[in-house]
Amino acid sequence: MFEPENLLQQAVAAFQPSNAVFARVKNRICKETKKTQSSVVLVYVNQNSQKIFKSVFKKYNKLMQKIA
Amino acid sequence: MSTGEKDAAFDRVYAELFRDVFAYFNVCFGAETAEDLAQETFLRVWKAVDSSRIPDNWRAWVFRCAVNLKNDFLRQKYAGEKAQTAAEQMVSVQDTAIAPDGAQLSIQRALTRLPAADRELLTLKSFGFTSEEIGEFLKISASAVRTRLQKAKQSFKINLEKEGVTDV
Repeated sequence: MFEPENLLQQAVAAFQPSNAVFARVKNRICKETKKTQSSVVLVYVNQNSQKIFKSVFKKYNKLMQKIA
Repeated sequence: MSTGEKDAAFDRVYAELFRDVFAYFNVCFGAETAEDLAQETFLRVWKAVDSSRIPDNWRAWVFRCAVNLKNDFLRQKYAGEKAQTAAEQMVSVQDTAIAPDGAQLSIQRALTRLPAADRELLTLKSFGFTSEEIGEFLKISASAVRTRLQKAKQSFKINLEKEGVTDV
């Protein structure tokens, strides 16, 4: 009789990534997250711009109702 | 949390868990898909760190996420086919950390020749998760996990014997 637990650990360990894969995926994640961060747009809304937004949305809604 | 702190937190989780997460996907689907799914898993980790939704147990959180991604992947890729059949494909052992010798290759084969569900269970077990945790990931009861694990271990042992591996 032999205990296969240790062999299971060995078998699974063989499926771990090489250092190259470890670094490659990390780089891809870094690029991806930087891209996401740089696409964030800060919108400052003051009272005047709020009025402009409201009037634009009003016109947009009317237009959509006409189309419907 | 400052950007530097977020980066450091992410780096810690990545260094601790990436190898196991990759191995999990590699055992299930092979190296190429493992790379993509492991990347997606850690993008989610990044978002969690970024939004300061830091869970108490990162290890369980990351693997819950990995199992969900695996299920989504099977649903998308093999929509219309029987997912289980699709996952049965033999996995590749390329691009892994250890270059296998004869005995090591036999041990790997004993694992890869198991049905996908057994491979998955044994892999999660080898990472030290309890039956309760595995049950939570796979949305089955802990007792069902224990029963399936026993059968999977038995099948693994039979495969090892077939490969001529009879001692540790």
